[in-house]
Amino acid sequence: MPIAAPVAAWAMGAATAAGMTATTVAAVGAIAGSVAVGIVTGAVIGAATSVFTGGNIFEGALKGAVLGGITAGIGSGIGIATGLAPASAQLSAMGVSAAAPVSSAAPTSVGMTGAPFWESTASGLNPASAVGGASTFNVRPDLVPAAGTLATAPVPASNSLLYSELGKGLSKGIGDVASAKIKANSDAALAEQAKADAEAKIAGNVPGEFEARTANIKMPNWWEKYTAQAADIARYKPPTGLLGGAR
Amino acid sequence: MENGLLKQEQAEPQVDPKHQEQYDLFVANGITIIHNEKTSDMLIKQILKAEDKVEAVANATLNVVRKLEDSATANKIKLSENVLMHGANVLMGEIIAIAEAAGMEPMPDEEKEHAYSLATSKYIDAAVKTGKITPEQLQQMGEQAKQTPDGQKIVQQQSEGQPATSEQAPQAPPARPVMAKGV
Repeated sequence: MPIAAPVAAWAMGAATAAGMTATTVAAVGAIAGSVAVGIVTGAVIGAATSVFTGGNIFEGALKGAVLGGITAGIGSGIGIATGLAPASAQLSAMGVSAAAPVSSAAPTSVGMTGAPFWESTASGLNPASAVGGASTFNVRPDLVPAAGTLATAPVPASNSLLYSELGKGLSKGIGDVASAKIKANSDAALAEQAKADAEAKIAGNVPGEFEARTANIKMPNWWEKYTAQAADIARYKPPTGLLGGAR
Repeated sequence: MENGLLKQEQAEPQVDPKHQEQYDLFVANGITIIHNEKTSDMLIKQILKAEDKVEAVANATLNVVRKLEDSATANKIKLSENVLMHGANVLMGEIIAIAEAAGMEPMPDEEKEHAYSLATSKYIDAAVKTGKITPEQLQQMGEQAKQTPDGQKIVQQQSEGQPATSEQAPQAPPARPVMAKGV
């Protein structure tokens, strides 16, 4: 897929390169910076391992990337989201301190300014800070996504502490539920009990899922078709003999 | 690849202003390419007509990144791998945004991660095949990556609870001296 693109202007400031007119766009990373770091780290490790073992580099990199993404997702709390809200939000609701959410559509939400290289935090370089404030880009108005669509990269909670706190909170919660069971002598108490049971069950799923994932990560298989394609390419041998070569 | 970027910085987080500037240029130039009338139409078309959106987004991102990398090389600029890593993530987000604005079904976060993983793997594979990274350099990068907190977690996950099946991630090779040739 060749792209006949305009020549990137490295010699001039980014603001000039980007036109600096029209719509302001807050560029947001496709995925959380911490997960991107995990994916790249895993891919490098997997690819390097393939070199060592004589395996397929693409396949090794992809498997490593998947593992790195999962590991980073778990580490950042993204992996324990139940689907209703990010883990950090769930934990905050349970009284566990988590990182503050980043305002959506803020250019600095993707910023790497202030973040170290290769650190497992939601990080990214700040596109607007260093070179003349290149926060405006000449963007086709019909292609500008609505502000609400500019998703915010999830912000990782402080992991080990967070999970430790979570465990304490759950122990307390389970104890409360047990106490409530003893006191349940009326319909109202039973209804209250049912509600508490449901809440405990929901809360219990969070560490349960985390534990399951970390104890024995099952590699998903979404990459199989891609690695199969790579294997097909590797197996493919161009026909010989057509141009006088020996078979 | 640039030297030493795989090393962890223990001190207060600081970004090299040169890298920040390089990143700003990378993203600005990338967004210019993505939103150029000719290229954006092509990118959108390729993604919308593709059966596999994950691969289409990965390929589109790779194309833009390669274009930027070639352009930087022509200008004697060596892009740092962190600029590539985070810049590509932002540009992929931009590509997904324009594709969604043009009618693509919203891409779930999981698929975005898949696309980024696929793009990263293709990039590394191509870099080795084209000689941009030598196998020795890749091995050294792997050793460095293993020393990072993320790398240690990944190696740990590789060695724990993984049955020895073909689906498992590759096991880390035993430590051995890094090749003399540096990254």
